[in-house]
Amino acid sequence: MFTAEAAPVSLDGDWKKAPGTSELFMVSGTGSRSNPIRRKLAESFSGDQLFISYRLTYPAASLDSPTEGDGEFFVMWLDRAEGNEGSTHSGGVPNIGIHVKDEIENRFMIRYTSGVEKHAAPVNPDREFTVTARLWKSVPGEKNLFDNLDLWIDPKPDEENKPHATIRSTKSIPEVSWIGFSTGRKTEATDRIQIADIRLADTWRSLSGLPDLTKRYEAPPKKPAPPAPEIERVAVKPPPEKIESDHWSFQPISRPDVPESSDWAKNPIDAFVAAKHRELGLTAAPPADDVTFRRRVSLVLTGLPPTGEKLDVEAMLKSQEFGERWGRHWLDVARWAESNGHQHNRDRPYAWKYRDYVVNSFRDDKPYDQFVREQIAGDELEDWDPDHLIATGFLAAARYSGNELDKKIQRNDILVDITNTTSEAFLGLTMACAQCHDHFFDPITAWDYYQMQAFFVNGQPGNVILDGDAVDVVQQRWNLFETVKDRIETNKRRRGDPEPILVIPKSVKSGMTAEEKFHFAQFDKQIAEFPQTWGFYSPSTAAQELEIAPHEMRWPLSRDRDALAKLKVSILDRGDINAPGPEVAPAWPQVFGKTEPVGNRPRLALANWITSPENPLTARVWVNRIWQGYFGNGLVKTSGNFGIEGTDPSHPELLDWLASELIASNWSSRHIHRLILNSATFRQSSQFSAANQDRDSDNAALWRWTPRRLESEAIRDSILAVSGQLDLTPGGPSDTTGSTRRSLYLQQKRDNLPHQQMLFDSPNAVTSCSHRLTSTVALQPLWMLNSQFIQNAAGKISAEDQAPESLIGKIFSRPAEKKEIETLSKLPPADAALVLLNSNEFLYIP
Amino acid sequence: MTANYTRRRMLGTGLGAGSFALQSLFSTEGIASPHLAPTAKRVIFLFMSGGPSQVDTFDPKPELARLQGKDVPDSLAKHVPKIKRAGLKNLLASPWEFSQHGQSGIPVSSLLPHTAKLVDDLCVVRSMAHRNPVHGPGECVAFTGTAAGDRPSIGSWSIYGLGSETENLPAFITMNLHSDGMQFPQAAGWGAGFLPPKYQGTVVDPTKGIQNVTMPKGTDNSRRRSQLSAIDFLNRRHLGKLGHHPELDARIQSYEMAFRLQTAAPELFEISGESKATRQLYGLDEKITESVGRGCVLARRMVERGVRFVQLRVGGWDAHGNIKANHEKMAARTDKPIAALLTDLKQRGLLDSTLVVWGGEFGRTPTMEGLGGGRDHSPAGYTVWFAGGGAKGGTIIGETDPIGYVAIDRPVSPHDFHATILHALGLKADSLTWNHHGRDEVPTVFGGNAVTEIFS
Repeated sequence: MFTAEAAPVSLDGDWKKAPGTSELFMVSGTGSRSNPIRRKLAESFSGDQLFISYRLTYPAASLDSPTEGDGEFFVMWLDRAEGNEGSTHSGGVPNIGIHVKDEIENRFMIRYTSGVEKHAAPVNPDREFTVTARLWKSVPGEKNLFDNLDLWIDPKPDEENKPHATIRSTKSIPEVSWIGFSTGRKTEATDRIQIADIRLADTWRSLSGLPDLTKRYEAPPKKPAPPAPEIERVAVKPPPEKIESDHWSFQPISRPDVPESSDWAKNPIDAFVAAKHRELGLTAAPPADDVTFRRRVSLVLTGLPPTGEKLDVEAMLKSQEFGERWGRHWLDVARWAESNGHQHNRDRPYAWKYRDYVVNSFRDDKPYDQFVREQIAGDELEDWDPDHLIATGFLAAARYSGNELDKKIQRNDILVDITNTTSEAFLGLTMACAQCHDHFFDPITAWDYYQMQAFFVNGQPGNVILDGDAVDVVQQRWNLFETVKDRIETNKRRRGDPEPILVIPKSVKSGMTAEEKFHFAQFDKQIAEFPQTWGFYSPSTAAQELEIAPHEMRWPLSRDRDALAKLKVSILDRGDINAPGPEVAPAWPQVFGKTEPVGNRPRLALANWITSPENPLTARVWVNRIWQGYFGNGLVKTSGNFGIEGTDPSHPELLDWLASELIASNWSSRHIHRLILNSATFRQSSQFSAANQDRDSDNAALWRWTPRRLESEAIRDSILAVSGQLDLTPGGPSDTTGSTRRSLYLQQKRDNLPHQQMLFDSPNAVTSCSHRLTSTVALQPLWMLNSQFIQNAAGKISAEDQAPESLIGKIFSRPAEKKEIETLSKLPPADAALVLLNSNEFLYIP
Repeated sequence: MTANYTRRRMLGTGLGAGSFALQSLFSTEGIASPHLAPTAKRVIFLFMSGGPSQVDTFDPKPELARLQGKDVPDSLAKHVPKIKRAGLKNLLASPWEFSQHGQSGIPVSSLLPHTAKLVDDLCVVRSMAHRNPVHGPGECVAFTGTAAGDRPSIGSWSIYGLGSETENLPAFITMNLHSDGMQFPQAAGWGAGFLPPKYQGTVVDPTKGIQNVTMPKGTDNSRRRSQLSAIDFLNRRHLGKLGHHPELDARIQSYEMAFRLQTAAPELFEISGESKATRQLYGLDEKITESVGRGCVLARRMVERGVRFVQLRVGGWDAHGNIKANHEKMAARTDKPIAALLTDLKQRGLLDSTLVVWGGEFGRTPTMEGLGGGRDHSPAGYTVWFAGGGAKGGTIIGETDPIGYVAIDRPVSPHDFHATILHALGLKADSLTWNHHGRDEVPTVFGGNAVTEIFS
């Protein structure tokens, strides 16, 4: 009757039978707790899961009804020890059998402890039932407990993951050595319970005598996908043979002759500006006085009010503070932030390294072409320098959702961000429109757009390890993670969770045993000790083989290097990731001519094309950005758009002359800075002229200096500086609260910047920002008058200096005038300081 | 392509950037006369973050009871768009009974007994649809039209189009309530995108009011006045030397506005003067309704004081684990205060001119997620409602399939939804333009048409 062939769990051994039990499995009761049959397993079982099955028939004559106060109890138990004939196998011991439910009916049930039961079908008389159970460990391991018990009554073959009842218990046994049956007080001596075909097995299939499958849990076959809803589609047109454009910015950079000089002009910049003045009949404003100029230069170059008497421009150009201010300008363009963005907005703890790289690059006047190359292709550069990887933080600053389950969408978001930002930052091209259709105005096709994307397709952002052999520990960490993840998935599947079963990292961590948690924390600790950066890395095109440290998010990017290497870009109809068209290879926009073969270093090829002296855009766009940093607007006002819809340059020859100077000076930005700093154009005062105003109301021809408001960072930094609180410690991880370092070093959480930065128009790092806007809203004065920060600063300033003269000297960096002293002396010193901090003179670049 | 070119160029002639570049956030002037006759002067957007379930609130589906536990029938499954998390197994009947209410007989589930009494004021749109099933991007879609969250929010477009009605308060205020759990408020929801930052919403904590509005200890109005007059003195001297600088003019004015705001804002948030009847109506003294009740009473006080666009974001509707427990809690938090807001606006004669909009970033699947009786995200067909501001009460627009999965009649995209709000304000979504990067941008980037049948 008993078959063990199919069951790898050995049931060898003799049944011990109580008197009155017939030859196997005809059980009667005694009127008290009794264990009529018991046997020891040949070997104790402590594996992952144990299936148990037996057949049971309760004859009508034996089965009493609970409603008559006479329900039944009969169970199979699985235990470590035999006990004796009267033992109670309960209190953490799995029981599978029959008990009364709700004092109404006899039902099949499972339990670990009396009183806590889960029920399945009712027990009908004179009918044979197959009782099947699974005893399993949510964490496999010899010493771990069988904490789950499932029950099926007459199971169907496909019901492995659909138990009819389940129960869990933290109190259980780690191994099964004995099995037996118990009868209860209500089991009478006249009862004849029939038990047959007891089986034990370690898989569902072997329990039913079926051959085992190589893979224990097969995900159900995927149904063919339902047809996509009908969307009106515009076919992507193949590109024309040749694209040409006579747009000014796509023409080669010329080296214009410097116009005839004038008395006013101090260098060629002025000659170009003066020519425009002559053309429009404008008169240049007289030069700014020394005090004003000193303040202007200091604020423009360092974002801080002047200190000391002498103005040392050359020292300022090489200062850390210069790097910090001009680095911040670039970070706007790079849409840099220290978090993923989107809903969860997880931190990127090593993103600050790119910030420091940018600051240092400007401070040290890194040649602009090199700066570009490192940012676009740092990982593809042959000569090893950790800074090259750190520079790829430009690409890695892409925003994407860590809560995106659809990997295609997640990757596409990154590619779109990188393509748009790269083309706007370096080329002044707004390619975003071409994502969905050919650009309406520029000669950029959808084809061009996706070919541009293809340069980036085999890489992705991550915590790139810069030094040391982290391969093993990273591998061990992921192995442990995957083991636990598989286990949780298996458990969920066993409990009947429908496919697809999704397990987030947080659940994996909380599902670890104490020991696993310990090891996992150790691995993470060891990994954290390796120097790393938030960079962009392509295993298939990089010059070095580098390890990637884990980054916390709910649905992380794929770690499959082979799959990443194989990715290709397809033209997407209307930008829809589910409507792919033909595949494309990396190429720059066709209007700029034929793309050279990119070889196995595609981004380096792109960077070399961008930084080629023949590229018509790169140098123009960059000198224009520098110009904007001085005058508030570039010579091309739309500094992020040199396309057809962008504004025309106010001084096209000057723009080209500066661009050619940049290239000729080996791409030295400092050379351009010096030219501007030494120009009469920059030295002009802000003196108004009605006549000039009539002819050029926007001051596009630069006939005077237009004061402009400081950026949020410079406002806060200046207040800290004049109140003696500014901590000039450079670089390193960002500060979160209570910092008095420069605003550049406050943590930049994407879309959730510090309050004061949002109030004064800092970009939220969602897209590239070429030009900040200046808003004037009443919430700004409220902060400037009432915030703890400003009150504190005003108090600190006036604690040392009480006299209006010295307050003015300190805050305006100039001697006080009589009327100002009169006005301020009517106020308490702290109020006078507050008033000065709120004045436009303090907040505007003079 | 030629046609598009012309269209965009033509649109550009509507409203240009230059004409109002210096207009302040608090200015009372509208930027232009409305394109259409407006039916509403202001908007209250009650955003139910996390995604309330349509089939458990306003879209009854008796078929679900019949199909309980079964898979989505093939005949319907083939129309369910390929969206991640759109489960097709194990349909789940609504735990709530639906019954018809009011003159109109619009069915509402027993989950929302207070709102149910006001169905004759609601225009229920059962056919909202988009394709983004993730909270963050979905919320960006709901407020800005695209998932990236880099475009202006509907509130920003609205105040850009209409300016403000008050000199004393921001024109666009947003309050974020119950932002617990994982659904963080998306800044894009009140962001100005490429519009000037003055069009962004001011985030306000209903229990604290506007940040930095309180003068420091020891400063009273007269001391503040002397500070302001000294600032004014210095700023006018400074400006005098420059001759002409409109931005500096605006900054000088902003100090006066700040002073007015300092008075107006505390008065706005001081709700202790509300009557006992009002307190009871909104549930201000009951723990479960206290928070949303305060938000709703503030929303009413804001529109009374001329705030153009009020946004109330109530988090917590993300019923993955258990639809019954989650929605019971959320309904208990919101139903009474929201019904109170409608009732109160009505009795004060404000509902006719105030468009109230209710809805989430998406709805929920008619199928069960996991084993706990929860529902997953589902953007393919969900419900929002409009009330007041010209919306035709007691009407239903659109229809979903027999299980409430996919909008099958009169689908309304988030862009249509935005165009509808603008339409009520008298603005045409394709004529409201802002020149960005040389391109005339409109609020509905992928095209959107107002659902005009909402308005009588």
